[in-house]
Amino acid sequence: MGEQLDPFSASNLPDFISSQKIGRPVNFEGQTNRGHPFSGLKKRGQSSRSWVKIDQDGNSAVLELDKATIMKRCSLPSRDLRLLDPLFIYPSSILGRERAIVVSLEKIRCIITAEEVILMNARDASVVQYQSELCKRLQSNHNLNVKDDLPFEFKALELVLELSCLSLDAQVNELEMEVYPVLDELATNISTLNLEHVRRLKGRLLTLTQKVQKVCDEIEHLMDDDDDMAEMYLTEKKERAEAHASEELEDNIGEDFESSGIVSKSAPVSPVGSTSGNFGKLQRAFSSIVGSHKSLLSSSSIGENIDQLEMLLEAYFVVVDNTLSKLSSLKEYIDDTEDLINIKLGNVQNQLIQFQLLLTAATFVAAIFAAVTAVFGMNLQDSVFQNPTTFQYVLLITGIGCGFLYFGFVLYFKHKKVFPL
Amino acid sequence: MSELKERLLPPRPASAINLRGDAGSRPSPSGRQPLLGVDVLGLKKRGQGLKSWIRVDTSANSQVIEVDKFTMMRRCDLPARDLRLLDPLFVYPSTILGREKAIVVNLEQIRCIITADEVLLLNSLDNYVLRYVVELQQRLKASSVTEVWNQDSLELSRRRSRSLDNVLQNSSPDYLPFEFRALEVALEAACTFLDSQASELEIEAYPLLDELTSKISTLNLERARRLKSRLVALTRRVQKVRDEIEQLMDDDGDMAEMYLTEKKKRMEGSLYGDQSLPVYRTNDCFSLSAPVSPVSSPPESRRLEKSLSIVRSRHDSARSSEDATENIEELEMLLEAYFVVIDSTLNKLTSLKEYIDDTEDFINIQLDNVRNQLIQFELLLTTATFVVAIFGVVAGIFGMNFEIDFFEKPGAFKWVLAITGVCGLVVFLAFLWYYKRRRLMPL
Repeated sequence: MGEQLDPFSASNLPDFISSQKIGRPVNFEGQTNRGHPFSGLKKRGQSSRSWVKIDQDGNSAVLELDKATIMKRCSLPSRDLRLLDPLFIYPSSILGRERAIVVSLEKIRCIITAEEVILMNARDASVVQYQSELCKRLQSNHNLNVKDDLPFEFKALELVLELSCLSLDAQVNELEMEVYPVLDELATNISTLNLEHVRRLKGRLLTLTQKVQKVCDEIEHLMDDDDDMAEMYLTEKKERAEAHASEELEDNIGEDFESSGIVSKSAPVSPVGSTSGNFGKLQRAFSSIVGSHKSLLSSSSIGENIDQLEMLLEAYFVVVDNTLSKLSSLKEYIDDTEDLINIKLGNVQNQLIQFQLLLTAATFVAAIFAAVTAVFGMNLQDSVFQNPTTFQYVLLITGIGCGFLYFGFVLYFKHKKVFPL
Repeated sequence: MSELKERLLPPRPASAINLRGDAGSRPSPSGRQPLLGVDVLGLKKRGQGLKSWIRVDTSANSQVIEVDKFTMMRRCDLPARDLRLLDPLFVYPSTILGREKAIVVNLEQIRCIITADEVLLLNSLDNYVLRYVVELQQRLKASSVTEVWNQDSLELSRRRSRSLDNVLQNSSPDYLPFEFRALEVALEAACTFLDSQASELEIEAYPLLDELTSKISTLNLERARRLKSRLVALTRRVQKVRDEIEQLMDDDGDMAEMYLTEKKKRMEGSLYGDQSLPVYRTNDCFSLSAPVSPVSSPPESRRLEKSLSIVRSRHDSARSSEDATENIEELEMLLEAYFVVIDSTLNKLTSLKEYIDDTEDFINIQLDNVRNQLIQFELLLTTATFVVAIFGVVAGIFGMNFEIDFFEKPGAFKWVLAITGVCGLVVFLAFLWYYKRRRLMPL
């Protein structure tokens, strides 16, 4: 929704506010109204925003940078930075660009480059946790000199994935622990309050399922595309660019370097272009044997490193897929409970109709008795009324007849097996 | 209620206590939960605690060792996130991962790391873990005797032709590398466990559904609901194991990566050949830094072709290709056997679920049928009540205290009774005929 509208256009502001009011809860609506004037002020004043920078040695610093500086520093277009804007709720995404990885997962929004992580500063517990944990891991790796075989950007990415999976899994567990008691209470006492509880929990379950599904799809989408994965190797791309620059210096052709630099700044270079350009230049500089050797080495290296990132993503894809499977089981449990409650209600409804049937039979028998007494209440002259003992005979015969008729009905109903009791 | 307690136990007890304190659903509990989880993780990382493992080597000797996480990572050349799969604090789904020097197995109750020389099993007091160790030891001892006999046969057959070698290799299916024997025992234990749980659920389900069909009560419905939830949980676990095996079988690269013994021999061979070729060392460095995918083996064969003679390179290439094809088929046969077993268990659970759904549908139809019969009888009685009420109205009319000449006639009483009775009977029969014509009474 936010991507289609241009939020900073003045003519679209009323439509944007009204569209926000329709589908959002009250709390978020208040936040939107409060935050929007600040956004306008920021747009006009080009004010700075607070970021946390974490470098490779685990040192963190708080920076105040404006949008243009961030765009220049990380070579990102403006629409990628909009993904990190806390005013808009974007779905989870992991984008690999030329010199940076833009990550927006759950509450952690950051830009990962080959040397540093630029983290959107917020007072949220997840962001603080990510910051301290990343600093701790980088410092421990630096001190112990443990060779984890992962570049810096993948260590940062792994921690984002780990915290996101932990957060989603905790939310699912919390929802599970709420659902089971509420469903048991609904099974014992079907009331409006319990039904409302289950309806709200199903709404929360659906929302959480969509979030987990989005993260799952994002990781799966990354794993299915080798080019997207290859583009995320920022350290290797940086080393390749440095080797390229040194070769250019050796060749002393400044014009080609300037042209290549301009192209590199304007658009992200795909690995195919980089490989072919590199190969062409190498063909001119060196002999054919060394050239083919290096090309084979480069090809082998790319294949291996894609496996490295694929292993990382696959581990967390399994975790998120397990969370999604848990939510699916929970939804199936709710549906099973509803089915059995329907059977129970049907059973109770049958019992109600049984009692109604018995009452109708009693009403029928009483109506017969009333008809007989009304017949003898008519003001017609007959010899029957001259005999005093006829009164007792009429009452006795009618009473016994009605009793036998009712008993006959009950026996007939039992015979037809409509009374399981 | 015991079923609920059983299900609530797998979540963390600390988070359970925390959740009971909270009233209502707020966003802050979801913010608090990651802190708890990460704090546990941080505590473990800070302490670097030792863990107890059971080590079983190729000679079927087992011993208990205490190693920490980093030592385990260095020993098996695994990243930290692979070791997290074996953490008993987190409930991960079943997984089989093939890495450079190890296979990480997480199947139901068994969590272990299989290398070319040993199996490192996470120690616990579970019966399944101990049973796995005993079973693995028995198989290793039995197959070591068979291996000695096979080696003698192989030596004899080398003097004859190569086709006899193939026949002997096919005729002895027990000749598997160490890692596949360990993997087979793990798969067998997992499939047996899941199958026994499915059978247990079946034995419990059929009497319960029969009882529910005969008597629909709240107690029986509650038991059916708990049974269905257990069935859903078990189906999910079986589905996960089946999908994992199927995914392995669909990817030849993943299967080729699991041949740890052959990879180890190839690495030793490359170390021997390293003295004559300095360029080989670079490839060796890459091989150490990242897992070798099958894509990288063509450059290796090309490099061999350059350095060695044409005849020798052709021979080596053909032999390597033949070995690769045979070995992938070997693992594929192993996985396919257990895939069939786990697929059968999944079919059993699917049939049970369909049986439960059919029983529920049947109960719903039965309830609706009884309800329709009740409504029919009520309709008949209401019609009869209506007719009798007409009779009462007529009698009430002649019971009014007005003086008319009709009351003085001698035979009026009988005539009124007769006419009213006949009219009432006609009205009742008309209603019955109308009901039959509209087919409201299928009886």
